[in-house]
Amino acid sequence: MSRLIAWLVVLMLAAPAIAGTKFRLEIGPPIAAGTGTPATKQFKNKVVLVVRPQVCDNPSTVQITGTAEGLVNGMRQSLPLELTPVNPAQGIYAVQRQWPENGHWVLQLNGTCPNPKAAASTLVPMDGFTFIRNKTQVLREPATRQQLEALLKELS
Amino acid sequence: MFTRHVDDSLPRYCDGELSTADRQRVDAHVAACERCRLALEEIQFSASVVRQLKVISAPPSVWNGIVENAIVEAGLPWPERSRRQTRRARGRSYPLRWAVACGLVLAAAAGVYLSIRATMPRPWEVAGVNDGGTRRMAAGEWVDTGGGSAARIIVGQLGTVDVAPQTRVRLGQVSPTEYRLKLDRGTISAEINAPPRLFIVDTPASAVVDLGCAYTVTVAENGAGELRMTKGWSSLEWKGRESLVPAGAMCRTRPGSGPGTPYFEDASAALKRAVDDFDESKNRSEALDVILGEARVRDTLTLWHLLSRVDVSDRARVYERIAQFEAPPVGVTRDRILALDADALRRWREELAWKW
Repeated sequence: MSRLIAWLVVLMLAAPAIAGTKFRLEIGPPIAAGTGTPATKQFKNKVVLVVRPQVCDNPSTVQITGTAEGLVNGMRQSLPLELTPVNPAQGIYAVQRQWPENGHWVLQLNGTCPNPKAAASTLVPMDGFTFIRNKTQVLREPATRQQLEALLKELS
Repeated sequence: MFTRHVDDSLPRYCDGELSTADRQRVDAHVAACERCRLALEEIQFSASVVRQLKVISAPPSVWNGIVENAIVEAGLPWPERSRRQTRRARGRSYPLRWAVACGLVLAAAAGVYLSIRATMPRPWEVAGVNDGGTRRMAAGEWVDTGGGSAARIIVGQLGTVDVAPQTRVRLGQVSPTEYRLKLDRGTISAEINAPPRLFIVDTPASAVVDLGCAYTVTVAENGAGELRMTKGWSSLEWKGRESLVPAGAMCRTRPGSGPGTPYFEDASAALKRAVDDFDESKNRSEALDVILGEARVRDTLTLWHLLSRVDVSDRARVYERIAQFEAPPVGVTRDRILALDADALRRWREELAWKW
């Protein structure tokens, strides 16, 4: 029993370190992609955030897709997101606003890394034009529907 | 010692117009002088080309023109017949020629004008929010909203600037590379959709350089200001001092010291007070302690700006605190950061920004 407890303690202590070494999608404000690069000329008022992969052997091989999940007047909506390449070599993409102003919205960004093989999601709640950093969920696995709906419900 | 060249005689030599003695003199000289020999060859070649040309008769109009010019130069009176002919010809052609010439000049001028106009930015348009009317205003004019009035400045194709009541804004120069406003006092809210650095707002304590964004800037009567970013990011610049302010953050400006240290609006109240104290040089050491203690990972925005603003003796503390949140990227060393190496600072800022 004491050995089991010891193993559990070790696992709990190691969990953060292990999680940090797992594939994930990181988001940031547009400025994270640089202020002086030619790509910044693409940044009009419509860019709300940028996204990049972490912990993948070759970031350029990561596939990132996204949807805008919303609750508008009580009705669920799901809109595909078009991502704008900013630095494909680093796997950095920009997300422009593509959803209506009214309602509550969560962006679901999904990524897959071929090597090491992994998939992950990041759920980004929006407040108008800006993302809510402290409610953003950077997951080390694909998001579940329950996680998404819970976040939408929390926003509404 | 000095040889007199014979190139003056060569044309007559070729035409056989020289005496025998002169011809012999030219022959002897050409044999010994390369310059004159080459000149002779050119003349002989040109003569052979001319001999091959066909002789044609000139059209009557050419002869008539020659005759008229000769009469004029000789000061002779025009013959009646010739005068009538000339008048008729002139009557027919001169007004027509002038008309055509004027038309061409006007068309060219119009083309140049339209081309310049197309590339020139439109002048300022200002709409009164209360009365709904729009009027065009020139650079140098003031938009002054008093009482309950407000206005909207339409910045060409770039966006709009809403002018709150009790605000005084001067319309600046407009060029293809710059639109400029000067905010004297009050509040404006700008939403600009343009390439970076095309739209600039001057305040008494800083220039707000638009980098593709939306924001609100307020200037008090004493010249102190406040910038709050809602989209994108802006740069506050004054005499070489720069503060980068992303969406969700704000930054104060102060006359005589320019842009302050930016912080996120959701930072703790204690951190915000400490940043203001630091910028106003009130107990800087204690203020720094509070900032370092209160900072979250997102507050590395504030900490990064402090690297170049703290005393040298405190710089390492700020570095260590930032590094606890996010280690510098490969190639960005502690020494380079402490030395305020511009490239190292930029690279670390771009990495930290992923946490902002």
